[in-house]
Amino acid sequence: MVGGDEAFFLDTSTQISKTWEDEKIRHYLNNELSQKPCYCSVYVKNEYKLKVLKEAILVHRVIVDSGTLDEALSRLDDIMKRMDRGLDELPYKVFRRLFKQYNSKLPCLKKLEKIIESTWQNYFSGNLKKPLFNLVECKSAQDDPDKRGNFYIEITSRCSSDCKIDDFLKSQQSDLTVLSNIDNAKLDKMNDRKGTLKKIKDTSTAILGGTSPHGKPCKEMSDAVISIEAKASYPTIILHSMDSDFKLLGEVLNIPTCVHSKHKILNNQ
Amino acid sequence: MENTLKDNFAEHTPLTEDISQSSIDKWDRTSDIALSLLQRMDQLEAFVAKQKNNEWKRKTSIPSIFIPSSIDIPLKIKTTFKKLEEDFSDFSNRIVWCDELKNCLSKFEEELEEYDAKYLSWFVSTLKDVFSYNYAETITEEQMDLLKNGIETIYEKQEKCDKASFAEYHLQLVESGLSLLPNTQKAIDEFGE
Repeated sequence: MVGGDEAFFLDTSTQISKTWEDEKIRHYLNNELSQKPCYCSVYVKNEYKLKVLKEAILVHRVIVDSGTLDEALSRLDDIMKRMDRGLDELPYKVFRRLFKQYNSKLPCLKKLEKIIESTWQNYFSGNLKKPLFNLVECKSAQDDPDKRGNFYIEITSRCSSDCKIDDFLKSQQSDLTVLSNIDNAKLDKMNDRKGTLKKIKDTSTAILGGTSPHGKPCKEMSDAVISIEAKASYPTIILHSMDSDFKLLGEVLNIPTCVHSKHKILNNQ
Repeated sequence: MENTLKDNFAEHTPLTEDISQSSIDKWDRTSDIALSLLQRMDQLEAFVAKQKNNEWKRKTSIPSIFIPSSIDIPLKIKTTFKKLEEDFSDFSNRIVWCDELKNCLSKFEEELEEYDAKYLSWFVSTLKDVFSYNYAETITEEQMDLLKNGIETIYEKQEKCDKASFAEYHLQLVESGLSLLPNTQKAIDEFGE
């Protein structure tokens, strides 16, 4: 355990935004993040890796498989819409710009290869304090990107059972109990639009009742796992996020938060 | 009468034996020609395959035979960077030299496609990205020192351009605040939203 002075813990949404957002938001965030030491965890790194690499590999695959960049962009936009994803969601929004920058497939593919094989790690770890917190010993998304022929094999979210989520949650049972005991009336008053807190409450109750936290339950309460691990690793930590769910979790778990909305940052400038 | 008919028939119609012999002769001649053609086709195919193989060997052996251990890097990149250093405090000249550097690096990146030099190409394309995505006016002196290291690396330490050294250099650029993705105002201004 480290800590003493205030420090930020960057969740997955902040980690993505600090690199992949447009300049105005990045500038605001990175200016704020430069004010305190910034920490992160292996758990968040694996979530980040899964999100960024999955999307980069998908874009790479469709470009290889298409005759032209225009055809690839049209196919990708269709795929994103079918997945109910906005075209301005990150990191896809940045990948879309590559189609405007390049006229042919090769330089675009090379740029993606560089991201997939190497640079995503620097975008994650830039300006972070080392080592990453790792009480959970998360083993998700362990595969390294593997190229077969012209295509990369998709990264899977499969995790091995030899992580320590079980032991970790046992050691943090008081937090799990707090989550399980969130009052339903309080939950109704909270702005839990996505239903994340309700799901975390139900999963916490199930785990306390003996359900193994490995696999699906761990993913269902990932925001809570991230928050509890951050607090357990660094008691005076401030959770930094672009996801309003963390504001609610911070209130429930008594962890200070610094949660931003992209629109508010843009409107305040 | 019967004989006359028979004789006439015999006169105009060859015996079955004769027909067979004639056909066999013709078939033999035809099959000889066909076999000969097939043999020639086999020879031709073998020749084409050999040529293709030779071509493939020639192509694949180019890097080991013709590519020198050190790739000649256009001097223009170095001289332009020198001019950028000299004129760094002059904003209008800085913009000109940064734009020129972007073009030189972009051209060299294309030339590198001919070579088996993946990580050197990553260094070059990353340096190009700096000048593509960052407005010249926003580059600081500390960032210039990093860019100078990158330029020196591609000229003087080419053999050390491996994945690990690239990752280390890239991290330094990321941590310096330089943008290496098309999500800057400059990229939006140039390529659109």
